[in-house]
Order: sequence, then structure tokens, then C-alpha cells
Amino acid sequence: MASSIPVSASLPRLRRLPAALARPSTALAALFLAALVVTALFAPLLAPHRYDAQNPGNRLQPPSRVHPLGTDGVGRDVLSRLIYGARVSLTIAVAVEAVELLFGLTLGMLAGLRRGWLDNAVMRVTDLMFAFPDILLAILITGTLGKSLFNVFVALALVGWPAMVRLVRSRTLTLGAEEFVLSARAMGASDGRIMLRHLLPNLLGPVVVATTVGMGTIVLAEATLSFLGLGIQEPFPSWGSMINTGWQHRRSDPMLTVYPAVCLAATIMAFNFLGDGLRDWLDPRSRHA
Amino acid sequence: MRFLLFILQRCAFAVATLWLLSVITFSMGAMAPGGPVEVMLGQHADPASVARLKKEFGLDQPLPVQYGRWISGFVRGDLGTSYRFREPIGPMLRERYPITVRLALTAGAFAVLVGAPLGLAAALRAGSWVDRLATTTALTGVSIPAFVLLPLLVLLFSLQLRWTPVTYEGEWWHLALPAVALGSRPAALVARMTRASFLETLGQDYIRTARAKGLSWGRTVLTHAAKNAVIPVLTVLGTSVGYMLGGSFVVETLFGIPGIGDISVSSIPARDYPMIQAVTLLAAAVFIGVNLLVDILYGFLDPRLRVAPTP
Amino acid sequence: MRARTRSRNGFAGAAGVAGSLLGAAGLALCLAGCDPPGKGAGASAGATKAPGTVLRLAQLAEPTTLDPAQVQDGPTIELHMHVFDGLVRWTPENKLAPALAEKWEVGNGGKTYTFHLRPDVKFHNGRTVTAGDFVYSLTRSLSPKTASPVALVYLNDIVGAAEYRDGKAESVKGIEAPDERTLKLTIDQPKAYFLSKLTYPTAYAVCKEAVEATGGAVTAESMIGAGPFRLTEYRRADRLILDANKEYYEGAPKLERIERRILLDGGTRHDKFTAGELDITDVTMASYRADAQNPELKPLLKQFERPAVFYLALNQKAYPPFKDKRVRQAFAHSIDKAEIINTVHEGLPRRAEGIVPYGVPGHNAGFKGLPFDPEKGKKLLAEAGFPNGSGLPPLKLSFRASVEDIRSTALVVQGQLKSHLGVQVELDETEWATFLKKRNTGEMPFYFLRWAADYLDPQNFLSTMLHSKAPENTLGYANPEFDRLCDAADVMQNEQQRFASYGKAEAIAVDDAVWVPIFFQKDVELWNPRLRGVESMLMGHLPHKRTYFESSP
Repeated sequence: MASSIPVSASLPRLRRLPAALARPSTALAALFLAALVVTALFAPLLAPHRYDAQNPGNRLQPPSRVHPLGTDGVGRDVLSRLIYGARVSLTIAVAVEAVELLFGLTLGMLAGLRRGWLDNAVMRVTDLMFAFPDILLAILITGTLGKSLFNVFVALALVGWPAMVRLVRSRTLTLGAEEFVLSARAMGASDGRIMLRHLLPNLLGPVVVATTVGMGTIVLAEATLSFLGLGIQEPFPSWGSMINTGWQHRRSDPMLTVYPAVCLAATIMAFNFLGDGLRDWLDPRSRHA
Repeated sequence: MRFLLFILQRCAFAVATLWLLSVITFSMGAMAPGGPVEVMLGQHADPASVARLKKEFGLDQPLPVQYGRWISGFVRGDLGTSYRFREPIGPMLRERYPITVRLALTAGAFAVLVGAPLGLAAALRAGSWVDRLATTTALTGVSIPAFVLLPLLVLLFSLQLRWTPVTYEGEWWHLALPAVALGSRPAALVARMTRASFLETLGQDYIRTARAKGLSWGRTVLTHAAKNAVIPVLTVLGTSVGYMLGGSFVVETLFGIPGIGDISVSSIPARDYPMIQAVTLLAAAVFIGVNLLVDILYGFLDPRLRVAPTP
Repeated sequence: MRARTRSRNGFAGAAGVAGSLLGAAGLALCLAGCDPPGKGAGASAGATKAPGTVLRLAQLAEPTTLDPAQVQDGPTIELHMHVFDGLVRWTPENKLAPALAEKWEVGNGGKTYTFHLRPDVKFHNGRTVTAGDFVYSLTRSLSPKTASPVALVYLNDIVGAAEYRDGKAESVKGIEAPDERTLKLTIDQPKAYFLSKLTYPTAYAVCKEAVEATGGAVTAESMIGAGPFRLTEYRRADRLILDANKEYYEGAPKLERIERRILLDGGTRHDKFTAGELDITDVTMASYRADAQNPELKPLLKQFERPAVFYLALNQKAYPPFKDKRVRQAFAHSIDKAEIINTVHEGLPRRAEGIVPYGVPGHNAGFKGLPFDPEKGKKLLAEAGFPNGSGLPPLKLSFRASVEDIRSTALVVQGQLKSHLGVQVELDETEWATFLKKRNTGEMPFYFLRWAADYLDPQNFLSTMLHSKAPENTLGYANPEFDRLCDAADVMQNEQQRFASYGKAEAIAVDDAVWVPIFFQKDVELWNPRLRGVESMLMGHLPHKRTYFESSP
């Protein structure tokens, strides 16, 4: 019976959890990200002003009681825009990562399991995508389709999915040679069943790590696009475009650049630290940097 | 014989990939709203002028014809003529490529000089405060984007301290700031890979044997461990530099470095298709070429891999 | 962006080795004599020039072309006007004056211009400039082989120009040279503004033998003109070096050399100025704010009016409510021009009541356009059937991407329409090429754009842009009275009558609110305090023929 075959060989994982989270950097990162998620979800409650409430006569003001971090080039509250900017960054990160996971898991597992022409096709297509300079591709897409949240999502998803596919495929190949999978095959289990019951639970580790780090990279990519002027449409705030605008005004108020830059760096760092901690817990055999 | 077939197969794939890329790049350009003619005419674009210029540039031909003309010239070494500058692209890129290479190599050097010792120290003192510090520094380096780091560096070193000029002026050391900004991420990757790789190697049996035989740490590390541990580090370094050789767009644009990245980014708003296509294909060709070399090298070194696909 | 670490096993070093090999090859390439551009200022002979004789300027972008027949953008035109010369030129008083043509007659009811060239003007290679050179240059500008995007904008009035360009004729009928010192140009209608179009680089004299020696294209070697400076060196992506033409017919320039450094970033240009490495630099609004408060820089700031108008366009073709004049006027009355000018633009540019900018001949000084009157705006909108904006289909305000001042202006306009009229418009920041295409096809309902003069005449603002039959008019605007007044003024010879007619047309267009002009362009620059003799006119600086440095500040 299929159910009597061990699903995986790594149960002791759960016992290592407290140790993994006890590391200060990982715990801090997790806390920061949790706070970020809360900020993004409750932005309308937390932000003292609307992100698009402008007051041109009051532009480029230093911090005050009404505007704790000052105002930008058209008098909007910087703090509120930073808070809503978190929404943008996280939304894109989650959406793009979700698409990557969908493609990556299905294609990667199928390719790694079935081999043959599908595997070949996947390898060739991902090779093709890897060869294309990804920033150029993203710029081409948003630069010609126009600035919008959706187009940024499309551009980043298109650029990002090959990496996930390759990772899943490579792990599937290794797992595919292990005993429990071979036995399941011998018992006549279908591909789908193998994928769901045997591969997926074991892929969870590396995939979770890759997803976490991946979200940090996506936040970075979105900021780069926005910085180049190709990201989100005004008046919606994005940390990248805030850096861009702040840089223009650096002589009047250098802090306009610093605030979003700090938020950006902190978020990316948090994703990386969390991913690192998770890797030690879930995927200790990994040789990835 | 089988090896020859293997090489041929790999080469065929490489060529096919490049060809597909050329079609994709060309199509994307063709689909983009607004073309070079509209940009050239600016606000003077009445239908008659647009039609006239299109005819003069051969842009009124059906797309497959245009593609055919471009690709046949390209394979013969004629990289085309820039719509924006009305000049042959080949010489323009030849002029700009060395500076991109310089930047990439300088950033790579920075990555090694900073990353490797950091990673090594972390590996040798694994678990100690040195390790924690190094790892944290590395993770920080990975997280700060170049377009954030570079302006901060410029604000400090060029504007406040006046140690370096604000843009690239011709001397190699002017590249210091952009190289640091560009190289901080690779440095972090190198550090982490060095640490992981040395940890694994140093845990191996033959190292313990050497130690048991009485070899000092220094000699052990240098003569035995390094040879093997260094390989994955070279991989990371090679990939990073290879990637940077494709042109680091943001840094070049920010710092006014007249390299490949800078001109390819500015060609998109100008709809300078020949330039975009040329740069994309060149970057891809470099990347694919390196991979091809690696695949062949692998196949040569490990006969098993000639049959099984690479992981 | 994404790190693509491929995890291979022990053979991974091969990849690294290959990468390093490639890098080494690149290094060899660099060292083997492919000297990167701009290698050290000392490499040029410029190091021996005495200080105070070299003018150091910045060029905002790589020159787009070295061929005067093709040039379109301001920074490149500034380069060309130093190297080449044409028949007529601008004076600092915005009037036309003789250049290589020492005098001319207008005959045949205003359709024939006969120019008499100076006898003593030489190209930089020593050869005298003749009428034949102008025939060659003008014809070349119009040639289909040259494929110039701008030639027909400036030379289309010449009889036979379009036919020649389209390959239907062997030469341009309206260009003749009866003898070596006489050039005769015939135009299709008695257009008084034709002469000012000849100031543009498409009518500069290029040196035939030099250009043909480089295959018909103008390169750094064949960029030979009769202007006050000659191009001695062009280092790609770095700088252009112009040395004085001692044989210039008006006398050698006081400067020995002009260096035009290519510096793409505005902040960089500004920093170089403050570091003493540039003599003139442009100043953005953001910089201006800080500079005006800096006691050292404030006295060095100089302002220049420019013949350009920034306006909002209301396209009735793409947005049916705009067909109703009351809706358009409602929008116009809701724009607080003063707020825009005083906040985002630091109070610098001049408010635009009409369309023809300040300083352009024919500008209506006392004219008052539609005032800021939110009450009236709301009333008109309600009358038109959209009380408080309800019932209006969604509207997007499009504007050019990546220019901070334009973006801020659009944001403020969006805010004003919301608070003064109750209409919520969405912003549509569009990349330039896409923006141009959409404007040409008339698919943008509402946009913010700038129109800068091709030549200083109201015709270029009114007839060219808003006449119902004008190709530039993609707004679906057609007012028969406006058309009639413009058609008449286009061919009048008496200047006063012409401007009066254009003035009436302008009033109609402003009242029709097809354009809502907001402000006229004003440029700000920082100048080295020791600079003297710099001549400027409305369209930009004049060639630095008489510029020099005061030896003591």
C-alpha cells in the first residue's frame, strides 16, 4: 500500500526549529518582515495621511509634528508614502513569487521526473531565458507596455521563472534516485501521485528557502525598475521611485533619498537573513552561497 | 567519435539559442509602440513625413524581410547602423566595450580581495564571533542595491570629501566607487561561497590526515584545502564577472561611464532597434559562448556527463 | 538582478576558469591599444593653452549627429552653430541680420529671395564659399539619400522641395545660383517667416569635397564649415574640442578654444561647475531651489526666456465630452497657474495667458486668457450636464516620462482638477516614443506637453499647431474663423497687420480652450563670474564669437 511507504526521511526537522529561530539575526528578520506585512495590510490605519494628499505650497519641508519625516516635491507626507510603498513591494513580491512557484514546481518536477523531450525542452528554454540580459528584458517590457503594477508584475515574472524551474528540476533529479521514489514507481504510483506525496514534501525545504530569498530579489528588481522610471505609475508610491525623485532633490533635502533607501535595504536584508536561517534549518546540505 | 557528436550537438544548441534570441529581440522591437521614425520626427510627425522616412530606412518592408536583411548582415560581421546616431554600430561598441570590461574586472577584483579573506576567516573560525560578523557583513552586502549604494558613496566621497571626481574622467582609479558599488554583491557571494566551500573541504578526511601528520594550519589550508575549495568560488566569481561583462546598466548610467550598458539602456527610449539588437545578441553570445566552453570542458573531463544532461 | 548561481560539483571550476579567461581576453583588448575614450586631459594639446582662453561647456548628451542637415535637438544645434554658418543669423535683439549673405532682395510679390554672398568667406580648409556651395548644401539637406527628418520642416516652402525629396525630380527647382556670388531661392507663397527658417542648420553651408570624401556623410573629418570655430577633436562619449577659426570673416574669436564635455547627468554638471571645472552649466528647478539660497552661487545665476509654451491639450477626438466648449472651459478655469508656477517651478517661468510666448514677435502683451475661476468652472461643467464631474467617463492625463518637473506639474494639475472641479483624472506617465506615437494618432484624450518654436513667428504656434488642416493638429479642433484668420496672416507682408490677425486667432483658440497654456519656458544657468561678451537671444546662446574672460573677477 502506498501509505505504508515512508514519505520522506527527514522528520527530525521539526525538532531543530527552536534552535534555528533562536539565532538573533533570523528571529529579527522574521519579526521585521512580520511587522512589514502588518504595515502593508493596515496601511490606511497606520499612515497619518493619504499617500496622494498633496499640498504644493508645503513642499520639501523638514520633519515636523504633522509630517514626521517631512514632505516631498508636491507636499505629500513622506512617512505615509513609505508605509504604502511597503504594500507595493510586498504585493509584487508575493504575486511574482507565486507565479514562479506555480511554473517552477509543475515544470520542474515534471521535467526532473519524466526526463525525455520535456526535460530537454525545459532546459533549452531556460537556457534561452538565462542568456537574455534580464534587465534589458524588463526594461523592454515595461518601457513599451507602459508603467503599471501589472506590467511590472509581468516583466518580473517573465524574467524570474527559469531560476525556480531549474532549482526544482535539479532537486527532483536527486530525489528521483532515492529509494522511496523508486519503490513508489515500482508499486505503480502515477507521476502525479509521486509528485504530490513524495517529491513535494521533500522539495519544501529548498523551495521555501529559494522563495524567501527570491522575494528579496524581486523587491530589489521592482525598485530598480522604478528607479529607472519604469515601475509604478504616479501617484502610487514605490520605494524605488521615491529614491529616484529624492535623488533629483538631493541638494534641497538629501534625506528624501535616504528614507526609502533604508527601507529598501532593510527589507531585502530581512528576506536574505530569514532565508539564510531557514536554509540552515530546512536545507542543511545545500552548497548554495 | 561520441565526443565529437557531443560537441556538435552542443554547438548546434548554442547557435539555435542565439538565433531564437535574435528573433525574439527583433519581434519585441517591432511590437513596441512608436518606432525610431516617430522619435526622429518628434512633434513634426505628419503621416507623409512618417511614410517617407520609413521608406528611406526600409522600415516599410514586411517584417520578415527586415529581419532577413538585418540577420544576414549581422552574421557577416556587420552589426548594423544605429538609427539614433546614423553610424555603424560595430566601431561604436568596440570603443565602449573596453570600459565595461575594465569596470567588470575592477569590481571582480574588489569582490575577490574583500570577499575571499572574509569567507576564509569565517570558515577558519567557524561558529565564533568572527564568523558571525563576516556572515552578517556578507548578507548586508548582498542586500544593498548598487543604485542605492553608489549615490551614497558619491555623496560621501565625491561631494563631501572630494577624494574622487564625480564622474569617470579617464583614469582607472576613478572607477573605484562604481566598482565598489557594483562589486559589493559579488563580494558577498564570494565570501559566502568561500566559507561554505572551505568548511566542507576542511572537514574532509584527507585534511584530518594531514593535520594528524603534523602539518600546520597554514600549510594545510594553503596546499591541500585551497585547491579544492577554490573551485566553487571561481564559479561564483566567473558567473558574476561574466554577468557584469554584459554591461552593468544602472551603475554605468549613474556614474556616466560610457560603456555598453549605458548605451543599450538609452537606446530603448530612442527605439534604436539595431543597437538594442546588437547589444542583446552580443551579451547573449558571450554568455552562451562561456557556457558552451564549460559544457565541452565538462564533457571532456567527465565522460559520464556526455550522456546524462548536466544538472 | 537575479543571481544565477549554478551549483555544479567539482567541475565547476571550469566555468570560473572560462569566465576568467574571457575576462583576461577583455583585459588584453583594453591594454592592446583600445584606449578608452577620454584618457586624461593632459594627452591633448589643450594643456598648453593659456588659462582664460578656453571656454569649458557641458553638452547634455552625446551629439546626435555631426550633419547639419539632420540635427534636431538644442544641445547639438549649439555645437553646429559654432562650426558652420548660414545665409542669415539672429542678433541678440531677436532680429535677423546678414551672415554669409551680406544683403538680399525680396521680389516677385514676396516669393523670390535673392542673396548676395560676401566675397571673402572661407571654409576651414581655405576654400572660398560660393553660391554653388549653398546650392549643394540645401539640395543635400533635401536629398532622399540624406533622409533628414527635419529638412522639410524648414525648407518645404522652397518650390520643388517635396518633389525632389520624393524622388520625382532630379533637383530642386526653387534653388538657383545665377553666378558665384548670387543665390536665388523661390518659395511657393509670399511667406514672411521664410527668412527666419533659414537660420536653422538645414541651411548651413557644408564643404562639398570634404563631405564627398567621406562618402556623402558628415563625419568628424568632414565637419568643415565656415563658422567661427572648427572641430579639431571629437572624443566619443567624452568631449568635443573646437579651436578658433582665425580667418573668420567677422574677425577671429577672442577665445582660443571651446571644450564641450559630454556630461549626461544634471547633478554632475552642477557639481563640476561648483568645482570650477565648467564655465557655464544649466540648472534644474531642484538645484535652483538650493542655489538661490547659497550666497556664493546666487549672484552667478542667470535666467533666460525661451520661446516655448507648456500647455494642456484637450483632445475632442478621443474624449467626447471635450467636444463641448463648456467642458473645456471648465477645465481651463480650474487650473491655478500661479500655484503651479510658484511651487513646482520656484516662481521662475512666466505665466502664459496666450499661446505665443513672451519675446516671440507677435506676442500679445496685454492679452488675458481664461482666468482661474473655480466657481465658474463648476457652473460650466454643471451646465454641460456633468454636475461635479458626475457622468464624465474616466480620463487620463498623459505626460512625458522621466522628467521630474513635468511629473510634478502633472501631479499638481491632477490635484487641482480634483479639488477645484471635482474631477478625478488618472495619471499616465508615458515613455517618450510611445507618447509621440499616441499623440500622432490622436489617441490621448488629455496631455501635458511643451511646444518650442522652430522659428520665431506666431505662425509656428498657431497655424502649424491648431489649424484644422495642419498635420500637427491631432486634437480634432476645427474653428473656421481661426482658420480664416491664420490663412490670411500666413501670406500678409505687412508685419503689423499679420500680427494683428494672428492675435485675433490666438484669442479665439484660447477662448475655445483647446489648449490651456500654463507657462512659458525659462532656463536658468550658472555662469563663471569672469565671463564677458556672451551673446544670447530668445532661442538660445549665440555662437561665442565675442566671448572672453575678464582677467580679474
